[in-house]
Amino acid sequence: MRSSAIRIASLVVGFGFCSAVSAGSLLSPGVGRIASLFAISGYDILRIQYTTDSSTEFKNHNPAGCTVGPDVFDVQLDVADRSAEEQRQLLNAINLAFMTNRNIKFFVRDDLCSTAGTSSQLRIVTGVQVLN
Amino acid sequence: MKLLVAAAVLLFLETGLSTAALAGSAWSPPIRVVAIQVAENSGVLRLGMRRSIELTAPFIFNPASCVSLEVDFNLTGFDVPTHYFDVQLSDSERSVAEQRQLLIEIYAAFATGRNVSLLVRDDLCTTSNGRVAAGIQILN
Repeated sequence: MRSSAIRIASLVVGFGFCSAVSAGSLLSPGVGRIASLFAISGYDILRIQYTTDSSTEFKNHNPAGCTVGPDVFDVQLDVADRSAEEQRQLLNAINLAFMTNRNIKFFVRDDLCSTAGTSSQLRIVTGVQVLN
Repeated sequence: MKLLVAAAVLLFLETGLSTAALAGSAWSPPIRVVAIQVAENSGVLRLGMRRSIELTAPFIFNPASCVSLEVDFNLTGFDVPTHYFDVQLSDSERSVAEQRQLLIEIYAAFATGRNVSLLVRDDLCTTSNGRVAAGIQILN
């Protein structure tokens, strides 16, 4: 119980995004698929792990030059310059892609990385294409 | 029995759905949604389309004579670029519930691979001069 609390506390301390600057995003050149989704209460992110059979171009898409730890991307849930409806549809589209196992492409920020709950810098997804 | 029928008729009159299309809009020929895009700060949900039958009618269906009809989705096995329609995510003419329901039906059509007919505005294009979808019929 106590070690769990310490782990959670460490995660909270480690949580945070790099300072925000004006957004710029690039669409990934290849396609991938979503292996799993992580949503943790208290964290303003949705973490997306992609499948190992995703294309190399998709896996290597890293316009912001993040250090890239595990095979994941983050979606920021608390974004001031995105409308509530746009945010809702982004999450809906991601969930749809996951549930129907569709090919996807991500719009990834080219100027910012996420450090939510990890020492790695993770890539940030700002948009999605769900393909046939 | 008579009373029951009368009540049913009254109920129908009270709750009957209008079949009239939105003013300033027209239904498209059958098409299939093959891609959905949500991009940051675009303010639209973009629908990539494929013709469901070998006719060009859905592709040239453009009641508002918008200029931008195609976008590059790079869909393997399909014509590139792909024709598209936009759904405006904040639409002052539509209630939040109505807007949300429209988007849910679009997702349902995409997930189940159904043909659809889109209600397309004939008096309005998006700011990027694309066609505006304002309603959907999910077909077979």
